[in-house]
Amino acid sequence: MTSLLTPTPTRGVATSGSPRRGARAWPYLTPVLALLLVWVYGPALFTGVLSFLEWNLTGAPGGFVGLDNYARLFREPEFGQAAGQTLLYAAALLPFSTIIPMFLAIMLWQRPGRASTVYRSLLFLPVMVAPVAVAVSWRFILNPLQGLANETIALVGLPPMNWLGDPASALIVIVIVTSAKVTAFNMLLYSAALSTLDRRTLEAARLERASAWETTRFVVIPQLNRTTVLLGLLSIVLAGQWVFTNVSVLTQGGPDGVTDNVYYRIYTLGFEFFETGMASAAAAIVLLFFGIASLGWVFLRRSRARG
Amino acid sequence: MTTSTIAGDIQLVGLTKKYGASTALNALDLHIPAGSLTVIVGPSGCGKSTLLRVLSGLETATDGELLIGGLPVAGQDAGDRDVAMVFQDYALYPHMTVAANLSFGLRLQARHDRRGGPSKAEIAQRVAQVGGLLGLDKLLHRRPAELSGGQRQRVALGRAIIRRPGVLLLDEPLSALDSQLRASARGEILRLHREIGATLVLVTHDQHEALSMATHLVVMDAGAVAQSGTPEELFHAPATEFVATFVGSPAMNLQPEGDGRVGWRASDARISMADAAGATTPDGLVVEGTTETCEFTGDGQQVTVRTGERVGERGERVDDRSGDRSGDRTFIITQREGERWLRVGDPVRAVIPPSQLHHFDRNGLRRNA
Repeated sequence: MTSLLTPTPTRGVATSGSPRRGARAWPYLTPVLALLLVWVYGPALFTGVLSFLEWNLTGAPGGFVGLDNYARLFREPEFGQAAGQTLLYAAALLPFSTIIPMFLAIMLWQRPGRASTVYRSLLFLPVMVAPVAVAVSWRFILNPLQGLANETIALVGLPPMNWLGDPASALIVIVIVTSAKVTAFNMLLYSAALSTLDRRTLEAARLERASAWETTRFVVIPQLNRTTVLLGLLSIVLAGQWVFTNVSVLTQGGPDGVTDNVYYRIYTLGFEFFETGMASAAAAIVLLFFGIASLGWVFLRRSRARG
Repeated sequence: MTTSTIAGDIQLVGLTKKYGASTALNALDLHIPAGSLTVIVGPSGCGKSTLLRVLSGLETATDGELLIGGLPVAGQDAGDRDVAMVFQDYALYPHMTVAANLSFGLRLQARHDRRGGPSKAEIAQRVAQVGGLLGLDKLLHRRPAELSGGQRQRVALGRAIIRRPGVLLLDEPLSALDSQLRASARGEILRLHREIGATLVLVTHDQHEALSMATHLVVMDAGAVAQSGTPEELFHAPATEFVATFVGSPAMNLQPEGDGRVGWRASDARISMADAAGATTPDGLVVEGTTETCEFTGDGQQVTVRTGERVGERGERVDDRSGDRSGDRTFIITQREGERWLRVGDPVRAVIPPSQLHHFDRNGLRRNA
């Protein structure tokens, strides 16, 4: 992942390994492959199998029901809504995972010094605090009766709001609460990319009469393109997972399902309704959708790199 | 390209640059003539790169005056001076093609001044022209990562000259190239200088490069100019011991004489094989001899061959034996006598004509200069 984050367009060198070299590689690969098999490919496969069975998490899995779980899932309006909300989360979190951390990182990078180190640490703080602790704190802050949020807006004469209970504000609150962490983490990745950028290119631009903004716009930002594309993709794929803790602690998908998303829906189906078959079917669909999307993105980038 | 002899004249008076407590440039006075190829040379830390950065406007002088083309530029920002710079590591924009790298400055000009700036057609024409001048025609659509070191350097040169600056600054332009490319790049810079007519100011720590390229040579030491003039002046009449040992390779030999020191160049020594038991040397064998004392009268002195190294031409030896200069002396033998090559242990006789001796007083300043 780190190699993908560096802005320099270095291409991986294709190693033309002889068959003997390949044979020698297996002992080294085995531990990692074993872990992947046990924790990633195995469960994924198991989920696929479960999606064709009837099971309520207790006892042994039941009989084969074919595509029945999928059919029931598509008949259920909640799943469609959750899928739509997932895309909405992805769109809403995209600026917090790309543009905003990029500018924060650039600003910190342009003014190196003690203050920049202090700000960087402060901005990174949300990443290090336990997610549930953060979410619970927000529940206190946003409490409609005694919360700090309503106390604060009351100071300027605004009426109290039901932050998490009102469909108009609930999704926005979840996005903003989640964004602190996403922004902080991606800012760090952008900082890493910036640290490999040749500062001389900025001086060269200055000598060519580029203004500060032009230097940022035409010299710095394009050199961060690879990082931006990667973080954008990660954001689209993972936004629904990033908000999971906050949804779980603050809204449980409500009100009226506006803060729901496929991941939380899978959790609800599997561990609250014990509809393990349906939950597995939903998981399989999500995996297939994002798997195809990611592969498509990789091939698109590869063919573009080839020219 | 237009040839301008009025623009490009640089005058520095009492220029000082301090970084906190340390002084990089110490009341430096220097005149860089318009149209010259001025090479600034000196050991690392002598302030030569700082001088270049102050000239470019990337750094602001702490004190003193700087005139470019007869006008003070103290308040001007880097881009507003009639100055372009080639960075040591080229600093090409990695995400842009060669053509985009070359045209970036012009495109900015067009952005800033939509009426007076260059048109798209003019930019394309100038990219083609500079590309042709530097042999980059076929590389215009490549990115820097797809270029060799020599090609990158030509792109860096092209990016600097496309705006037709009166002054072109080059920071160690050859240091990142291997020795083969270095010779051709040196030729490239000399040709460019002839063709664009700008003042070239080149910084290097390689005094060989300095001697071979400069029309005007500046030796810097401890943030000040030790001596400036033509390479011949600095080579044949060094003003100080520092200049004497810094310019020329191998370094000038120095040894005590009265309260000061006397110096002589190995290349000025006339080597006689008379005592070498019939030994002769092929063209261009470097012979290193050791001596206890030197006398520069009569028949010269006896030295013994310690190590030898054949080189292509007189003076082509790069190693300057910068270590201990007190004991070993290096001779470059160019005359050929007979067939036999010199061997380690052969005695030879070295004679230095009195006219080739350089006398320095106890402060290291040239006597009778």
